Amino acid sequence: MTLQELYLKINGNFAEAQGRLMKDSFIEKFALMYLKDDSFINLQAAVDAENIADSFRAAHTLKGVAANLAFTELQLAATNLTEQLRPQTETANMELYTIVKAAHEKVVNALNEYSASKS
Amino acid sequence: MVKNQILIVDDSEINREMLRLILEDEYDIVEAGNGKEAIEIIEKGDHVFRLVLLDLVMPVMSGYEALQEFKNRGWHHNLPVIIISGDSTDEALSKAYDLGAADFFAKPYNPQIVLRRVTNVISSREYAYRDLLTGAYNRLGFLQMANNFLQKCEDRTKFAIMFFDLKNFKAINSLLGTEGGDAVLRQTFNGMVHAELEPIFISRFEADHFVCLVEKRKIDVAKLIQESNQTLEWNGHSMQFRFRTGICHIDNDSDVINFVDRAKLSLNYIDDEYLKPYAIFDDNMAQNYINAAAVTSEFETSMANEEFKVYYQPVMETATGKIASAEALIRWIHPERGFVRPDLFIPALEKDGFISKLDLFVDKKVNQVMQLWKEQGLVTVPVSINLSWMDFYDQDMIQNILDNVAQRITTPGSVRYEITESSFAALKENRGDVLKALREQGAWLLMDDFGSGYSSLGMLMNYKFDILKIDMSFVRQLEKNPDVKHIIKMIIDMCHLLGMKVVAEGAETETQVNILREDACDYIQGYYFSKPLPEEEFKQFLAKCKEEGKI
Repeated sequence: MTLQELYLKINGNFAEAQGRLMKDSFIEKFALMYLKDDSFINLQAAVDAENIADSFRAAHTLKGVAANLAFTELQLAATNLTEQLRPQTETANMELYTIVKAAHEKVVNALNEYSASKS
Repeated sequence: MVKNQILIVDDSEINREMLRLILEDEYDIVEAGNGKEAIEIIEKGDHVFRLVLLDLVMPVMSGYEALQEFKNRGWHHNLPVIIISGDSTDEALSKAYDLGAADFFAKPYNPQIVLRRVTNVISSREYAYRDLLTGAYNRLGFLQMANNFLQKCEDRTKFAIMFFDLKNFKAINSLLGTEGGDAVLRQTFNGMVHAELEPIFISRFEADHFVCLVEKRKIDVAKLIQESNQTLEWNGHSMQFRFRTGICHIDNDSDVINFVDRAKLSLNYIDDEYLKPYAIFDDNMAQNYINAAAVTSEFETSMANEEFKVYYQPVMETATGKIASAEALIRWIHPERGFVRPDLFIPALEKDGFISKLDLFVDKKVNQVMQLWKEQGLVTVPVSINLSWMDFYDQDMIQNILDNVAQRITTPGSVRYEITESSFAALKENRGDVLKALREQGAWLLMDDFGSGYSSLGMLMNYKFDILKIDMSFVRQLEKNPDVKHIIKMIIDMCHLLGMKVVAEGAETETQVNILREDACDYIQGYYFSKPLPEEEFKQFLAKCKEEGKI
């Protein structure tokens, strides 16, 4: 599996990632770091606990990480959830959260597949 | 050279690492996961950050809260913050700017923009710690960086401070203009940057003084001698300039400024600027090292504790060997440091304006003692008091002296004041008529240290003196340099033509005294006759003179 194929699979923007990180080796390094990133885990915990402030913070962080990695689908999903949570009046909209979760899982699966193809 | 340090504050490791990747070629990066961690790192003081990159939305402490804390601690004056956030709404921006943020960029990062903005913000604040003319650190920046560096290094005794004094900078400025002077300063800095000495930090510490922190093992004195002579090629001119260098090894945990002071002080111990234009601070100099700030802070207490003592050095009539007068000299006997040399503490007191208090103390003390001796039926002689150039800037001091003279004068010359050439400018700026007023009341004026400065003859043209004292540097050279005899003879003849008597200071040998006698010098002061004596010994000296009919 190539990096282009990875980005295609997760609806990411490979050209944007190249523009930011210059070298393929850097794109790979940072993309794989997402597997150890706890933004989504924090979001999940906050949503489960119905903690509005923590949910907003975690969604916001996930949005930033996804944007930097050019994981476009995940970024858009996280953006929508962040904006829903921003007024900090209501708990997470489960429909929006489910879309984020699906995008996250798609990224994780694809990254695992990419790793496996390399080893 | 050491890289500037940047603190990146973001709760996502991926975001921090990405910024690190963009910046680490040019900057030294430290990371924090939230506002609280950032504050702890800054407060610990292990780093000198030139910039903080701060995320807004973070757990534990948000970027806004952190900005507020920075402001509360007054850090926002010296530590610029760039906000990095996914939020670029007007509201978010205006809140961040209100809290003192210098700039803002949004995620996702564009590496070119990040690097450009970081560089811009850092360079826009550089004036606070850099000398903009040369690019070297300024005094503040150097002390900050050097202290921080030494705090962190395992063995600070491997390092030294070098203090470079540009010798003929004023001449260059007046010959080539300030642009030429600026060119010299820039050339000096560039030379240091590329020198084999490889200084860790270079600063233009003050006007024409450069200070470096260096590794001791890289100091090569042969090279230092060779490179102390430099040539500036500028606008078709070729100009020589020179350096003197003071070196101080770092041997304890105190603040860097102390080592800079010592390196500077060691410049005074350079005997030959051409053959050995450097000096290394040693134990002998350490004994003489008096922190100027300590002198002035202890002055009031030392006065109250009577640590300042008046000594009296007899002045003898050359023709007869009889005592003619004496000079009052101040001595500081410190409970811990012992005898403190006047040339070390007087300049510090002059700087802080305390010297007038001390001069007035001597004036009063001498008068009290002489009054008492007279009442006891003992012999006395006129004792001259030194006035500092500072006294002429102090209206109260001048008035005090004029009042005292009016009260004390008995016969012409029974009250005497010594002033030096350095008072010339002060007199011109302030009360030039004060000398005239003193003489009209019958006080005698002595011109002290004649020949040691530049304005001597001008002083004689503008003011009238009763006695001129030839600087001891002449007498000391009398036996070594045959020309000096003629110079002294000429000064004596000139004084006699102007109606002045002459005292030669610093006579130590019989040969010197004989030459001075041949030249018709009126009086001699020096160790040959007596060193400066404490009050009780001076009393005995006078008694002995009386016994031997030498008064």
